Amino acid sequence: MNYKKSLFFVIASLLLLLACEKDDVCLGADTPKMVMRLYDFDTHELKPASDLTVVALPSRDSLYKNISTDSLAVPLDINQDFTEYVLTENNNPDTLHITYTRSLFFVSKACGYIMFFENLGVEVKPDGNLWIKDVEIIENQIKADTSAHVKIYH
Amino acid sequence: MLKFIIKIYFIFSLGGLFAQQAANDSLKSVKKPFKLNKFNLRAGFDIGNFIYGKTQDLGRYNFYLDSNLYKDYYLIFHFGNEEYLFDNTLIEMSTSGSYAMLGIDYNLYDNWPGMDNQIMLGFSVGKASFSNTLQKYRINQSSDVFPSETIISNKEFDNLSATWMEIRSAIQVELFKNIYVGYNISLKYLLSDKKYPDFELTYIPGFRRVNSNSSYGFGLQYFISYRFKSR
Repeated sequence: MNYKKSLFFVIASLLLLLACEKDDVCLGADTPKMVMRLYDFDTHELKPASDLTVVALPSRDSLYKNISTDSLAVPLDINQDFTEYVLTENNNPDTLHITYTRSLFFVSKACGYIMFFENLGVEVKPDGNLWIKDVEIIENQIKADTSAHVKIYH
Repeated sequence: MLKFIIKIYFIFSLGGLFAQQAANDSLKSVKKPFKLNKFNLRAGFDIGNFIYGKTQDLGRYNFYLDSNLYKDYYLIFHFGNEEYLFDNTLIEMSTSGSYAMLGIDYNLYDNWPGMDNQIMLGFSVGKASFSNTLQKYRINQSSDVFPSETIISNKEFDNLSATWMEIRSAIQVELFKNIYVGYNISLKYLLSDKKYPDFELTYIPGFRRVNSNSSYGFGLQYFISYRFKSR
C-alpha cells in the first residue's frame, strides 16, 4: 500500500519540477515590417498592382511573386541604415531606396530584443519608365506593423 | 542493514506520519518550565544542485545550518552562491551571486527513543545580491531576408538585489550516526527586487527561476548533513 503513496509523491515532485520549467516562450512581439499600401495616382483610392514581384537587393529570394495586391509588408535590413527593394509590375522594375535610423528595443527575456526604425525616408530611383508615380510617408516611425507607413501611388 | 533499509524507505514515505502522535499527547499534560535545548548544530550541503550545476558547468553551492533551540522548533540559516545561464537562442544571460535566508522550522514528527528524524514545516525570509551579464543576443525578427547576427554584448547589470519569503516542507533522516539525508520543497514569494530598465530578471540566487508573469518561485533541494554535537 505504502509504495503507491511513495510513487505518488515522487511523481508529484517531478511534476512540480516540470511545471516550473520554461516560461521563456515568446508570444508576440518581433521586429516590425514596413507596411505599404498601393493607391491610384489620380483618384487616391486603394488600387492593387497586378503581377507584382518584390525582391530585396542585393538580389535575394522574392518576398512576393506574381501576385495582385494593394498591401505589402516588407522587412527592413536590421544590419544597416538602408534597404533597397525592387518592385516589378508587369516586367517593369522600379527600385525603392528606403533610409532610416535604427534603435534597439528590449521586449522581454522571452522575446529578447527587436529593432525599431525611425526617420523613415523612401525614394524611387529614376529609371525613365516608372510605374510608381509618387511615394508618401504617412508614419515615419516603424514600431508596429499593424497599420501602413507608406503610401505608393501608381 | 535492515535498519538502513527502513530509513531509506522512510525518506520516500509520507504515509502514516501522524500515526504515533495520539499516544504521546496524553503524556504532555504536565506543563514544563521554559527551557532551551542543549546546544546542537547541524550543517548541510545541497548535493542535488551541486551535481546538477556540475553537469551544466555552473557553480551551485548551497548550505544550511540549523539548531534545535526549543522543543520542536529549529532556527535555520540557509546561505549559498549560485550561477545560472539563461539561453533561449534570442538572448543568453548569466546570473551569479549570493544569498542568505533566515527562518524557523517546526518538526511534526515524533521520534521513537534513540531516533532523530524530522518532518518539518518552515518559514524563511531571504535576501540575495547578485549580478547579471547579457552575454549575447540576436535580434528577434520573423523574416529571414536579412539575417540576425549574434551580437556579443557582455553588458553588465550589477548590484542587483531581491528579497523574498518562503514556506517549506523538509524531511531529514538520520542515516548513520550524526549523518542525515533529506530534501526540502519550497514555495517562494518575491517581495522586492531591484532591477534596471530594459532588463528582466531570469534567476535570483536562492530564489531560483524568476517567472515573468508571477511573483512565485519554487525550490527543491537534496541535502546531506552532519550534526556536530549530538544531543
